[in-house]
Amino acid sequence: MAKPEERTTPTFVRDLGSGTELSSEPLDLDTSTFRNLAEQVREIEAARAAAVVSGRDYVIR
Amino acid sequence: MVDHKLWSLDDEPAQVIDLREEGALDYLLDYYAPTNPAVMITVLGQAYRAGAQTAVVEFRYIDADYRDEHSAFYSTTFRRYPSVAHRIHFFREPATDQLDDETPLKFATLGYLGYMVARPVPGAPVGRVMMVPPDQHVAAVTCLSEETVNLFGEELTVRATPFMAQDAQLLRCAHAALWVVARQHHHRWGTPKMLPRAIADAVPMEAAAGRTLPSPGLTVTQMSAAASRLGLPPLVYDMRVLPRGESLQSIACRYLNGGLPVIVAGQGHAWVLVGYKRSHEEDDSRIVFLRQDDEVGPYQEVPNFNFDTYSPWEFLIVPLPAKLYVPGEEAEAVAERWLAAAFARDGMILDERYALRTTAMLSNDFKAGLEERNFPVNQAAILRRASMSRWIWVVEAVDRDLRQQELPAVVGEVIVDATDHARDRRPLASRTPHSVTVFTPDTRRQRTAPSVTPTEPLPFAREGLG
Repeated sequence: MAKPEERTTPTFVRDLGSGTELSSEPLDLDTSTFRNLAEQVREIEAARAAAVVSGRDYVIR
Repeated sequence: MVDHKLWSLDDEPAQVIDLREEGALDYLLDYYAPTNPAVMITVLGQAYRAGAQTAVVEFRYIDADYRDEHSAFYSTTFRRYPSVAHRIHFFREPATDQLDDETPLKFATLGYLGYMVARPVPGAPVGRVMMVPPDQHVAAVTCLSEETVNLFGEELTVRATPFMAQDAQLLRCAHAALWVVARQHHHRWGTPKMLPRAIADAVPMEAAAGRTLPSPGLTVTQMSAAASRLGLPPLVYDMRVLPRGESLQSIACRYLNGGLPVIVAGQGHAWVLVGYKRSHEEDDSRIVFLRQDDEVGPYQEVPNFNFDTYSPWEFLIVPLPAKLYVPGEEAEAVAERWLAAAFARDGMILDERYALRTTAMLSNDFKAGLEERNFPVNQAAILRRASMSRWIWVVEAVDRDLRQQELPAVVGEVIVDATDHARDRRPLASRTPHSVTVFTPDTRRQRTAPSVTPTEPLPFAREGLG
């Protein structure tokens, strides 16, 4: 059996493209919009943690 | 009044009731709900308003849910209860005359509206219900699923939201709410079908006082644990402790957009939100919710939740698919930054002209809907080929003016991996009117396809009025 690097693609096999070329560089975006994201995520997590405690005593009948 | 000794002992398979006849409604109410008619009045009223002219009562119906309740509780009491239920089907058209013994019974052409299971329990007569929403609410109900039933060898399909009233013994409102959610997930996404005893057994009692049967009710923590045991681990929100900028409406609507029901607790009661719409009266900020309230009935409108019977609404409990790790508000926070950055790159500003609409959905459904949404063909091709997690959050930038005019209003969107890492959130794809970018999941590189001409605003990724 041929080694991987020696394999040739048979004529009946076609690579399915991804629609367009993969960029060689990460996307160049203005990162200033992300500045306070971590703080907001921490607030969201803190709110969920508070519900864990208060839900213990709330009875639904 | 129903004589339970004669509930289903004769050989009649069914009755056909002409609902146009005076007295038909009272006949059903007197027979099935002599002592506690409230919920049945609601359900029958909705059937009438949907235009039902015919009811077919299927006797000796072995209903999985009621048989399970019977096994768990009603077979253990001194008073006897039949083990079979009745199922009442509703049809829009009058029945034909072909109801003689020689002709196979056929009802499929009569316009099926759905069914209600009647328990042989006078104090809790309404069991499972799958009825089409009232006309005025159809577009607002987001938690719809299809069920196909069989009546005398004929398949009938209804698109509805599941409903069940509590029986006040095995199931209280908290259990009934969990049942509604679990059944919706079962019909819509193929999760296991949970019968009432499975719901009751899922409630952890180790740390609770009192007995499980008859149930005295549940705490929010018990409900949360039960949902997890049912395979739908929930997010729980205390309305007194919300993150900055969040509201009850914003949190609930993100889940409802994707057809994920939201349980609410208030005044010691629990119910399930199954849809919403925007009030057209003043501005677009007031949300009108629709709920399954097991003490009242399905598709109940809540014009203003601040002045609701059960106000204040105190907790939201949102049972979710196990791998939907990222909460809606967090997906939106991340996507908002990426949208702003993508807009800026393409010379636009994400400002107050745009609202964000956030929806959890299956990536396969998102991809399948691209063509119908008139996505540019080259950009749809890229998105269809992109690797995506099974569950995604779609965060759309919506032009408020266009939305108000009920026109296609989505000018851009970001796709967030619902399984993404809490400390390294990044999107799977983004779109502006000028380009689509797809990010490879395991590197930080991307493919970008520019728009030939700026893409016109598109419809929502998932239909709805929000």
